[in-house]
Amino acid sequence: MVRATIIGALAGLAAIPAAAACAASADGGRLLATVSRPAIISLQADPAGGGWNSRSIVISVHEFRPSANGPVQIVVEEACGGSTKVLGRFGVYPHRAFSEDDPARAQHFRAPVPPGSCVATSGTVRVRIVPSQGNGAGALAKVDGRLVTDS
Amino acid sequence: MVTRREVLLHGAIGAGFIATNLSGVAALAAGLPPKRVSLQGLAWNDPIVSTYRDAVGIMKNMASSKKFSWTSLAMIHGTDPDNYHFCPHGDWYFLPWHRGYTAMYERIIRSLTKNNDFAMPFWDWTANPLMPSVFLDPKTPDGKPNPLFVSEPDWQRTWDPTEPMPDDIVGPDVLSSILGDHGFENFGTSRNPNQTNTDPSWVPAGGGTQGTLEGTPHNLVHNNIGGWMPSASSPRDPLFFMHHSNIDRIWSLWNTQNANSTDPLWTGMKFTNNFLNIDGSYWSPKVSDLYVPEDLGYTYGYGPPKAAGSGLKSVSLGNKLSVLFARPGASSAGLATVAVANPGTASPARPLEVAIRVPAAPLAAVRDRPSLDSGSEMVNFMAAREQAATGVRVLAFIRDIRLTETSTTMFRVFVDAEAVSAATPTSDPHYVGTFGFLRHSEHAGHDRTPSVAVDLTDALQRLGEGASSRIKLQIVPVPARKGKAAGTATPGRIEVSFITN
Repeated sequence: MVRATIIGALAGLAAIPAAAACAASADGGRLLATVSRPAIISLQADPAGGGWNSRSIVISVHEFRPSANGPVQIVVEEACGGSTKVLGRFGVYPHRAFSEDDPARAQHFRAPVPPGSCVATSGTVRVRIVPSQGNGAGALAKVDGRLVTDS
Repeated sequence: MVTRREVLLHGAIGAGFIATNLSGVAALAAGLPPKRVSLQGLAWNDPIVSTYRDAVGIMKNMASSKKFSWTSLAMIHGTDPDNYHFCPHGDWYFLPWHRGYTAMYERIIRSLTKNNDFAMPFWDWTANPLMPSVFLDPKTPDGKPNPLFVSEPDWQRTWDPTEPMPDDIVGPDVLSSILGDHGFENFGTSRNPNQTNTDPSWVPAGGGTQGTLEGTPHNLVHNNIGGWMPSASSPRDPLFFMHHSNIDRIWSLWNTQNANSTDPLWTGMKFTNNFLNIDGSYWSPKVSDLYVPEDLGYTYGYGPPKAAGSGLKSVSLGNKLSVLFARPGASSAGLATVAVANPGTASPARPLEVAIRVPAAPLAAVRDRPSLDSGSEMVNFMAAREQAATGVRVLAFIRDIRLTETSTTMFRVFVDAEAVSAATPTSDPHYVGTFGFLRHSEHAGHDRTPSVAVDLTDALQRLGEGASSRIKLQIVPVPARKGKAAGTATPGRIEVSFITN
């Protein structure tokens, strides 16, 4: 399985709306997402599987900090033809902080790639932190992602 | 996706080809262990709710050192709010482990309450996304303390009880996506990619990839509820088992169409000394012991899919509907209709509310009949058709509607809600459906006024409870397009018809 290639925030701008231009900062090959700063991830095909015909995206959360004023969720989006489509919406459970220094606590989430998706052509997805309650202040997730072939 | 509402509407109004002589769902359950049922419509003093409440009270009152105390049993899941004990999340043991854990509580509850008919109910958050009311008040209606309420000051639930769980985490589209997953590891979370043997340390290891079932409704409902629920000590909240019983139900439903993994690393894993028997000894099932709910002492009533076409025949429902459409207010054998003339106008500022007196007996027959569990129609269309074709159905005919702003207005119909407005979501359990008219014939120079029929059966079954001889029908105009003003609807007459097969 080829690990995702993570690139800086600006690299994905061709496919992601300008609102994301203030996107995440790179840190150790993984990207940081907060409520105000989404992470834009560049995906590589899985050569062991279906290549660009891969059917799912896996988003890995290597570090997480919840907000003190309500739960947050992780939303994965693609930009297609000027519109944004949600590919997946996940919760980190238990909703507790963990660090990438403890890799056993990383959580991984699969989002199916729907027919007509432009992930294969754009090669990017945007990962946002969205508050379920409160304003999500202080929440962060350090993420990366890859395309995989369903088993 | 075919929604339950569409299935029922098809069954009631399409009606050309409907099953009537299939054995009932209740009959299917004959000879099976106690059936887990939806909390929907169960009153606070229903035997299922009472038994669960009594058992939780007994366990909460035990010294925490006792094996069956509420605290001790929760520690099987997590030793404290920040640390798991035995429970797996984020790997392929998530579903079978929680099936065993919930079944253990079910057996202990039967033993403590001497009620062997008890089966853990489930919170079908797709059908009714509001937190179940019997868990929300510190006291029961008879003034006694309610053990189902979370009373610990630092661990109280934070989710607004009047706020439904959002459709984008528990709604029909999410459930449809989950039930459409192929392959156990896509549906029920995948293995840790490094796993090479069945050493018990792999059970809580995580490291797999969560599918939509675990990552979305499971995790987000936990997190949204707040209090104990987002923590590793989540079983301290009695709502935990209503949530996990529903997760388990969805697995059982998925299994009617999909096979589990046959990989020995999964089937052969033993949950050694994780659970307790009712005599206090350890219960250490293997994953392969946990495939079939009936083998564990409960059922959801999902048999194997029936053969298509078995026992089908046309019924006279279609004829009755033809009569009702053609002859307003018709009553005959199998039909009972009541009507209200000139009920008023539904406007954006003031939705129309019409209280209609109806015969109590057929209304009770509708309300007392459990609705189909959400998701069933997606994997077992025959069961949905059977549900639609049997029992009393109740339809509202909204006739001769005079409209304004026709092409920019939709009308949402609710039943028996306290109050409704354009802000009331369609996920509200009182919601019936929406109607609208793309271009009313007034634009073509005609003065015809349209009529519509809506099926109230599903919503009334969902609401359940209470003998009554009144239905409150509510119509709310909402803009059909962003930035447009909604218009009004003034029915000339509203009829409510009960149709008995």
